[in-house]
Amino acid sequence: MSGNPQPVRALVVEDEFLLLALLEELLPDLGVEVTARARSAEGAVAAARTPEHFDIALVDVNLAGEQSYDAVDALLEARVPTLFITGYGSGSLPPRFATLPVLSKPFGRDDLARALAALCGGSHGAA
Amino acid sequence: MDTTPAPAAGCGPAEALLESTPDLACLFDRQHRCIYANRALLEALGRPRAEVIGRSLLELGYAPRDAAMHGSEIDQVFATARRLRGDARFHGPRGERIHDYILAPVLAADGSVQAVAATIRDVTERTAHEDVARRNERRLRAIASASSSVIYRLDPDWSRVQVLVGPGVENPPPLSRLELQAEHLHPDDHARVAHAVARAREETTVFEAEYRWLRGDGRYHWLASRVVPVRGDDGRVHEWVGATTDVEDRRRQETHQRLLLDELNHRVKNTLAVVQSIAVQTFARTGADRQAVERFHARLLALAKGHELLTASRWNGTWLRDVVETAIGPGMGHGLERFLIDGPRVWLAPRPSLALSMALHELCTNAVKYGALSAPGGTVAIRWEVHEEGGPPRRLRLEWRESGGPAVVEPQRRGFGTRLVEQGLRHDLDGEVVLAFEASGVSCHIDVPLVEASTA
Repeated sequence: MSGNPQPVRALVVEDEFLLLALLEELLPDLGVEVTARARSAEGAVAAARTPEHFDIALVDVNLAGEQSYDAVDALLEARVPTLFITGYGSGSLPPRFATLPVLSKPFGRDDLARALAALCGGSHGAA
Repeated sequence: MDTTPAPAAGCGPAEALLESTPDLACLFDRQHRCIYANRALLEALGRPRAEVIGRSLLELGYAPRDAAMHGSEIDQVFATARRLRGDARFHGPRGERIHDYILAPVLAADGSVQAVAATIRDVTERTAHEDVARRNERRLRAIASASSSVIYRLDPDWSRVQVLVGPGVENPPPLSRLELQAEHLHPDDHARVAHAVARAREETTVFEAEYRWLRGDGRYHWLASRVVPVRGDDGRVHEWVGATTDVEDRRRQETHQRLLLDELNHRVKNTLAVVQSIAVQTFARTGADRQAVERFHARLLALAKGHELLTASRWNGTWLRDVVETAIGPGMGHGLERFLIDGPRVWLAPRPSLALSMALHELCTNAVKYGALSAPGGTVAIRWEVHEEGGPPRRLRLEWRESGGPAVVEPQRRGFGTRLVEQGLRHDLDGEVVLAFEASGVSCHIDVPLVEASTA
């Protein structure tokens, strides 16, 4: 991925700093740069109003006890490819999100690469 | 009626009736003397007619108290010309009997009372049956109310249902089962219940189901029902009897517990992810060995995936094959095509499940780095059997065998991974482990007792 001159820009919606830090640590190796951050559903909805600032979104299902479904709806509305990060089983998501990639916590570099590949149609699978 | 004492052999139809009825019959005069007795009465008293006619109640063997009571009853009929009914215990040659009797006036042409006619029915057996029946009935009701269930019967074809014991009216009429269901049964449960009913009727077996039912409070409650066939002496099903209990509270607690467990699992996974992040941040900043960081990652993930398998079964246990495929699966960079996996279905309790997850992960990591999976053509065979000899507990024997890899060199010192395999299983599962670094490939024999887990 190092040869890719134009990294993919990502919005990360995560309420825990350490998990955000982990993603910021792992994503650059996979050709993804975190260019926008939100720590609440409202913040994510606000970010969805300027979708030109990022290419993809990684959204934690649980944001300080609240579910991020509305924010993901807003992101999908803005045509931003979005994946879920969750500590719950993937089966617990509402049916309307059935086609979205899910990254289960805890995740390794390979898991992250696979989820990104599913999100971007395979362009990150080689990482 | 003729009031003169009758001869033994009657002449008219009335006499014939009196002599042939099993009921006891007699006439009393004002002095409480018996002036007529039928055959049944003589048999009950165990005396010939000559020892009965003209005798008073006392002389006939009645206890003084009973004789006095019946005497005053006879007086009452003479005085009022009205019949009366009673029941009393009578001690005769056949032991204690229970008599149900009617005393009726015999009227003369001028309307005066000439004699008192007594007809007496021996109800000893009937009373005993009734006592037993009543006792059984009471006992049944006590059982039903103690169980807090509604008890009901169903026609053989399940068309109508009638509540036998439960809150509400006594002896309610039978109701159409299908109409009740249409009104009360949750729409989503119709198909399931219909299927269970059809099966129970077809196989004449116990019906068991839990379903949602619209109750008086306007809400659907979860109910649990059991219905059993009741066969007659001819072996045919004459009716079905069922019991239904409201299990709403239990179901709600189960749901609550499930939510709590889900939440706990979520937190555990989140915490593992946080630990992972701390490790990454810590090691990356200190310039630590990148390989060591990767290994730490991999072990943490193996632990998390082992947990996830158990979470799926709500920590009841796992299938061994799932443990194997998860431990060697994604993240190792190799598909299942490099593995030969063979063994019967074995259910593992949580502890052996996790211990084997970690051990298999270490073996796999080693194979990828140095062993069969480090070379293009290398393969790993994982086979297991269950042995029953020597009685319980059964033992699981699992073999890990690598082949087609580079020549194996015994490592100079045992690393953490090796210790996890050899000592971990020994310690956690009281098992035996033989890890061999043969030139042709690494092999590992694992022999552990199988503690039976609940296969919920």
